[in-house]
Amino acid sequence: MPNPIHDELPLTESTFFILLALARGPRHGYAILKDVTDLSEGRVSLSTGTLYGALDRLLKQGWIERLETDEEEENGRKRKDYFLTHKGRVILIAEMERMNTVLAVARHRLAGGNA
Amino acid sequence: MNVENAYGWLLQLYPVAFRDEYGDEMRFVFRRVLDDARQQGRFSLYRTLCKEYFSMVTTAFNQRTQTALEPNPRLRRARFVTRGASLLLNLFFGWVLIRILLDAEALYPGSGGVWAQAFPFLFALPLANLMMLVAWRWERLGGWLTIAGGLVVMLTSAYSLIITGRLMQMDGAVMIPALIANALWLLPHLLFGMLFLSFDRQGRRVISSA
Repeated sequence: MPNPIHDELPLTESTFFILLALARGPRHGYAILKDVTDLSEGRVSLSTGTLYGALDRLLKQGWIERLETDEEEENGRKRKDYFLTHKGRVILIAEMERMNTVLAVARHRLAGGNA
Repeated sequence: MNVENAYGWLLQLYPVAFRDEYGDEMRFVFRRVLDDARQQGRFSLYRTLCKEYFSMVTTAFNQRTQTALEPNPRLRRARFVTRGASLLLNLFFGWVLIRILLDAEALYPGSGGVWAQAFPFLFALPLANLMMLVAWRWERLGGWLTIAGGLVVMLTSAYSLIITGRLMQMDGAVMIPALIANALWLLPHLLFGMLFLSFDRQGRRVISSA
């Protein structure tokens, strides 16, 4: 029976790192941007437009949610944090398992196996 | 205009609902990103600016495409019909204006020309129509400006009636219908303005419920 989660995979690198950045708890936009750059060791450097385009899509997919915090930004508005939903976490774990499988097959092949 | 103001201005490239939802946050993040880049030197600053502006154009285009394919077909259809109708109305008013300009003597007999009497009206009508086209792009702003434009058209039309002395020449039985007919100038702009405002509200609702 087809698993609907697997239809969503593979994730793009930026989506993967955004979800990973939120895996430890809620983050605001700028913190996500910094986290993605750090986690990817500088390989993925999102622009503001790309980040918010991706966040908008992830919100619509129900993988993340947005929460208004008590902290205020410079303009006096409440800061908004993003956090991973259960569905988002399931997708993230499924993607990690997929990558593990791919890696295992590749390692086996390189080690001279027949798989 | 500094780079942050330019960024704020360029946010207009995004669909209105997206901009309202994320515009403030994007401006805030952009400022922080620029601060970081400034600390790393001039080259880093220019590179960041290029990346941010270029990405803004491409992501705005993507957002516009998605909005065009938004999951609410009724809203999309209603927008399409309203924009088409407002374009037709614009063409009609354009024809009215040309007719007034070409047949000034016939429409304003003995006036010796149309300018002194009808100039405010001739100025207000295309301006109000232009606001309808502004509403294609910025529904809330354009919607309010269209309604305001309709009011100005109505007032300038009344001014033309009074200044040419035509109102004073009418007897009571004709004056009231003439005033009512004059007030009708407001209707199309009021109707289209309200429609655009309603689309703006519905667009926001779609985004916030997503």
